[in-house]
Amino acid sequence: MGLNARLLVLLLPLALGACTLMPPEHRPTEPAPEPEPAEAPEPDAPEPEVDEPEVDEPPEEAAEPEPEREPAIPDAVIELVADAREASQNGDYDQAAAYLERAVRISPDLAPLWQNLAVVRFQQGDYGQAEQMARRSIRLADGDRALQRRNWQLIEASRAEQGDEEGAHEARRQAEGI
Amino acid sequence: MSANKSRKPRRKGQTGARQPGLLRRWAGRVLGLMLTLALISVGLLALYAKSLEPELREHFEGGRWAVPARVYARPLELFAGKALSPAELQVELEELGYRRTSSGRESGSWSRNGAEFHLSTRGFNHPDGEELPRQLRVVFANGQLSTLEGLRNGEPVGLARLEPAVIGSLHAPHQEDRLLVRLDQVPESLIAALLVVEDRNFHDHRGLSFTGIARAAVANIRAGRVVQGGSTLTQQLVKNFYLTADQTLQRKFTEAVMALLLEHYYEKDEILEAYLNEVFLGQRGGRAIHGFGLGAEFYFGRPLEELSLAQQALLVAMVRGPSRYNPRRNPERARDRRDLVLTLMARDGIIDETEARSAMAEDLGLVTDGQRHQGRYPAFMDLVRRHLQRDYRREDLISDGLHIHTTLAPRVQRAAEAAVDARLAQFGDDAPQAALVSVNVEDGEVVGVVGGADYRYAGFNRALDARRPIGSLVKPAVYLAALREPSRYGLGSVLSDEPVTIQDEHGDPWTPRNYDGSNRDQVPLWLALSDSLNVPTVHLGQSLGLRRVARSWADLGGRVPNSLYPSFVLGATEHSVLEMAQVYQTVAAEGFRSPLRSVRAVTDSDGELLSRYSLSTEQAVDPVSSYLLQHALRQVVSQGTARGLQGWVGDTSGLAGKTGTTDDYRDAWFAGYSGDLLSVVWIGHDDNRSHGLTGSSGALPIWGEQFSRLSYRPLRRQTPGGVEAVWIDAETGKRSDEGCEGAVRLPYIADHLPDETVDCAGEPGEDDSRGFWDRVLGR
Repeated sequence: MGLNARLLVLLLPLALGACTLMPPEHRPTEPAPEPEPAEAPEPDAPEPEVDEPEVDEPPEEAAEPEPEREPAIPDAVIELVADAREASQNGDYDQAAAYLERAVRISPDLAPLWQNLAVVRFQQGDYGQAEQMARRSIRLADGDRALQRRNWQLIEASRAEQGDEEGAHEARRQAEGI
Repeated sequence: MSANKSRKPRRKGQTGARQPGLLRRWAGRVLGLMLTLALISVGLLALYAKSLEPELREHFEGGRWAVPARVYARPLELFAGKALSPAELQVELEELGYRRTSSGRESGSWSRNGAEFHLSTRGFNHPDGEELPRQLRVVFANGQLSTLEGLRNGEPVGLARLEPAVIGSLHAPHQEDRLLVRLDQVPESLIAALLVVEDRNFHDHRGLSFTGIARAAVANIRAGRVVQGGSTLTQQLVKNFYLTADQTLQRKFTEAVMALLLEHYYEKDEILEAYLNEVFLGQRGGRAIHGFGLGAEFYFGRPLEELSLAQQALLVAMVRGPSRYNPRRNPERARDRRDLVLTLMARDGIIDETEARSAMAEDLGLVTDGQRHQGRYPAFMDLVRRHLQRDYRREDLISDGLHIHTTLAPRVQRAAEAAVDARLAQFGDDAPQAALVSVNVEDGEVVGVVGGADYRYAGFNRALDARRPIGSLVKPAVYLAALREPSRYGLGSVLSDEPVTIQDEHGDPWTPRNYDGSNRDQVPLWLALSDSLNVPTVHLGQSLGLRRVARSWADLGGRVPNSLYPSFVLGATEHSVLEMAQVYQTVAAEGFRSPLRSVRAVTDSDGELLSRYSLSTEQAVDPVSSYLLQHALRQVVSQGTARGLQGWVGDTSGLAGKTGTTDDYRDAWFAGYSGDLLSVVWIGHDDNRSHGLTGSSGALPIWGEQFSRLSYRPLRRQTPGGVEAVWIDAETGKRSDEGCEGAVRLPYIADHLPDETVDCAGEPGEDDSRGFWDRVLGR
């Protein structure tokens, strides 16, 4: 994952925030009517890795595995992601998803886009698709541990929402194992 | 009201006479009786008017008109770095009916100078986001759109979209069609012209105009025939509602009452807007063209806002008689009347003399068929209709003025049609049928459908409804089932190619054969797939068990037959092209199956979202097995049965696919994909005769021709974690090393590498299968 892609992740922590990282029993029964601000500090939430700008120093793990290609992010995608973030912040998740789907059509190999789509699906209450989109992001996020972990955390939360405690535990193990 | 007026003077006269005694009493009684009668008739009239009211309101409120749903293609996204050629952009611009001009600066026009385009988009509302009109400079280089910037300021533009092209409407066989316009969308000059010609006093009368009638009468007497109607726009509107030629007195009376009622209940602007949308302007087959909005599109191929003065005048001219003044059939007559309208406009000061003169100098400015998109893509529309049936009633689709935003990509569809035309033309008179479905790899959006050789004809849709044996198109499921068991199989595992006889579904002996009729002892797994060898596939199916194969088939999205027979692994089951597109979408997207979609969203007539069909996906196959399978399918193209593709598209390194041929050459298939686009092609005769062609020789050329006309992204997949490339000995399936004789580099799961290693022989050995292995090893 190149510099560009990292910036993209930084650009859009789509208010995953409170709900998802809280254990299910502490979650409000209704989805919060207002979207949380993008970086809502959450006391018992694990430190969100993405927010560490690893721009200056390369990650610890030696030699990034095979930098096969460096997906240059088209400006078009940056614009759409910005639109998606705005829509999401206004609580219009449908519209946010529509923007992200357009972005995905332009750069389908960009793992953070699928991750964002996963977050929006979660916000829409579509937990099944939230997990699937996160899986797609994981498939593409080879070598980006932070993004992989975020995806597993989202899968954990999605499974918990659906009452699949065992599955949620398994996802947590995956997240912790990264 | 009119009854009241006529009685008033009389009553006045009666009360004015002063007579004593009896006479006075009689007068009183008569007066009372007359008053009663007057009241009763006023009451009856009021009741009558009241009885007409619901009908009137029905026309004016809510579902005023039955407006067929309009169906749109996907909007083309433009951005620097997009894989697109100038020819493809031009196809899209033509689809939109954009005019080619010298500057490309008017809305809906473009110009081209070599690889540089100037164009002015129209802007639109779309459920995927609003798009403003823009003036763009678009430059192509190195097979892609390289520069996108503002035409005036030269500033880079990140993303722009052309508006979605209209590809049809969902209407009943004989139905009115219209494209509703709001009053503020109609050019003022057009409205002024309409009033001058049809109803000068529109803003002053209350539904009926006696001066209008008088003036018309004088004009008609002078001319000796009916040249003017005395009806107001309001009356014309009422008349149109009923669409009856019946001109009895009672009819006229009813119309007059309704005209008065209309004026009573509604504002002038509302009546005018209704008129602008109601007016009948022509006929296209079974569809009646109503309203100036659709009229503009029908005659001039552009939106009402973009019409020239001359074109506006021509539309106004046609109001009097769309058939008599039909500019396509009676151009002279239409032109004369247009010029008359322009003269009247100048006389009334709507335009000046110079404008009138230059407008009169214009030709009629007609397009051959502004509705050529109607019925243009019947096979795709068929798919859209089936999709919508799930959520919408037919009545709503043909009457609620919905907007259907589909996934069709005109450039892909047109390339498919051109490919079918070009390839089938090679057959002369005995050409087989063909069907094709193109799909976006990543999200399952259907971007093109060809339903038969005569793809403009809305007949049997072979892409959706013809179910034919798929032959080797099934094989990826067999090999996937194997690769899903990494402890038993890897890409380099050797399979037996020795002749085999097993029992078929009737209990009879069945001896499958390879296409070339020969057998090797053993072949590597990837090669058995890329060369589409039948015998090793049957061996593999037997050792895996049919149920495992069927599970993989189902995971890919294939329909599993009720009973499984050994011939299943050679594709004896029958499927449609669309089903195969679903299966290969899953394969191409590395196991992420996305249900095929043809509709993105539906909005109501005001653009409010009614439903959205968003991207969904399911990881049906694990990434590692998918990756390994894809590796073998790339070999199909690079050196296997589809290596002929190189002749069509040149570099095939970013492509993968699979050929299929059925017994006696009745069906030929090719399913192939790049990183972003997938097409499945079938050819065969409707009566199931043999056509003598294989997947490679019959279906692949259509695919090749289609893709040679398209820009696409090559397939580039990240190697999944835990997979590494290793050297495997092709003849034994054991580990080998770089530079060793017979070593092939294959992706393998690191935890499941072959245990044994062959002795490295540095020099190519001599044996009788030399020619075969030479090709396998790319020597």
